Amino acid sequence: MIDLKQVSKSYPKGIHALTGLDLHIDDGEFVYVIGATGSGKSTLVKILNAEEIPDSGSVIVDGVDVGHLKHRKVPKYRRNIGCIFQDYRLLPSLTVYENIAFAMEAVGASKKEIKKRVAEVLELVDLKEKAYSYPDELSGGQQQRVTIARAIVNQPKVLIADEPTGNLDPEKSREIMSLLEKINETLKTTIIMVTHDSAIVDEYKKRTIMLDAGFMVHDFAKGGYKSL
Amino acid sequence: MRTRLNLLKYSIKNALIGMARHWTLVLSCAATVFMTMLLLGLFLMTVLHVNRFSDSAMDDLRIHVILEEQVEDPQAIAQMEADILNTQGVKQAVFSGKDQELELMIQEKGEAFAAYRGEQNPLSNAFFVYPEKEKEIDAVAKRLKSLDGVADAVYGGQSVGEMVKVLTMVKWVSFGFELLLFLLSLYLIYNTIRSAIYSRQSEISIMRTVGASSSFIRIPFLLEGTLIGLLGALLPCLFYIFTYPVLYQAMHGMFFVPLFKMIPVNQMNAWIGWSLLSTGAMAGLCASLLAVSRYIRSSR
Repeated sequence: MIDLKQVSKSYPKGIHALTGLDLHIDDGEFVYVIGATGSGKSTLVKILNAEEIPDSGSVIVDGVDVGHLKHRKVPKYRRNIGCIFQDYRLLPSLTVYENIAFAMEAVGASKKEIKKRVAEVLELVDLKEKAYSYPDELSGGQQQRVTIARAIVNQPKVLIADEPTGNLDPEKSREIMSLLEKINETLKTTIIMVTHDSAIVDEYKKRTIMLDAGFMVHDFAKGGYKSL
Repeated sequence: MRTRLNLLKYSIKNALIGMARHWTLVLSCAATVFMTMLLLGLFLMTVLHVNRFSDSAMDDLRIHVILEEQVEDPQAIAQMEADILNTQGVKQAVFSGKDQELELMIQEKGEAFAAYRGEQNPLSNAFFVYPEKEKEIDAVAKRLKSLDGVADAVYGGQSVGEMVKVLTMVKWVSFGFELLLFLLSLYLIYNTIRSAIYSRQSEISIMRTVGASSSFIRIPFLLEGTLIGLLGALLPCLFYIFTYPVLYQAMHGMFFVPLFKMIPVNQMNAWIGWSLLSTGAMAGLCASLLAVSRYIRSSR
């Protein structure tokens, strides 16, 4: 499903963000990526999302050679990758329904398809009654659930969650984790979650990859922060 | 196909939403475009009229070829006509008999010459000769003058030539102003679209994240620019369509003298309508294309 071989990426001024990274993630896996600031987590996310091109090595996602993807083919590739951010990135002038529908409008879905599919994902993230609320009327946890709904509405094969619980209290973080687990189990979506939250990593044990200064230092199948 | 239709629908919707969201900016831009289009319309009318005036002045540019007194019988006149038509640079020759010549003189100089009507007519037969190219009129006149049987060959001469020169200059100056005004509207719309792009940066970045194609991101801005251009051109267009007929009526269809006939109302309305609307739309489209290609980063 996701296959990285000897992937390296450096930025100007000699910053080596990733060095010789080998990583294989199977279909439907749930993987944590942890590491200190500057360890290369964000670069990994950007490479998987085709925002950055690796300097060397190969990145294959669902059979697509992401590193050599032509510029004009990036949008189509991205429809298979859902993204969740720490700062939600919702449009404040649109309602919850419109925010989710926006992702489907952007790929040319019809009104009928949008109506049906948005209702399904609102049900899944348990926000049906908030469909016509605006983001600033929602709590942080609810906003993050809207972001998740928007990320999965086009049924991507991979979901990249960049610090999804970073702005939430432990209780709301658990809600989000339960939702992500539900998506992983019911929709069989592969989830790559970048996090600093050791409590979550310990409580919801999954395969954990640790990066340090651009190198992969641990790949622990049983998971958990303490065991690293 | 259905997907493309949906995308177009959303693009139009997004363009309208975008315009509604910063309507004050759109309105102020459309108002300034309105002013430039109003001036553009004025210069356009000037150019169209100057063209018409110089064409009719050019039409009047003909050589008066006066034959020698003895060229009188029809055969000699026919031979003369053939000689004139064979002269290099001649397009057309129209015969003007000595009686006609006298009538023209009476028309021009007054009834005092009426006494010469009949046997007393001292004038000779003549031809009005039209050159193929107005610019070569002088050379053609010289050639005609050297023909046997021709007493003189004169033309309206310098005064018409000078007037055509002035009219041509007015035409080029107006063209220059039109170009400047077009560039001004381009700049105004460009700035508006640039601001619209800035205010929607987060929206654009989310669009990219969810896999929107570049055209999906760009088309609403292009539509917005085109609509602003059209909006700004519509009012001046209506203004001229309603005021030109009034002006035409008031001036009795001519610009002070019969030589300068004004352009008929229907023709003028069609020209000014299409020209202003298409210029407005073109300025809007070009400006937004420039802004979009410069400010929507073509990053991945």
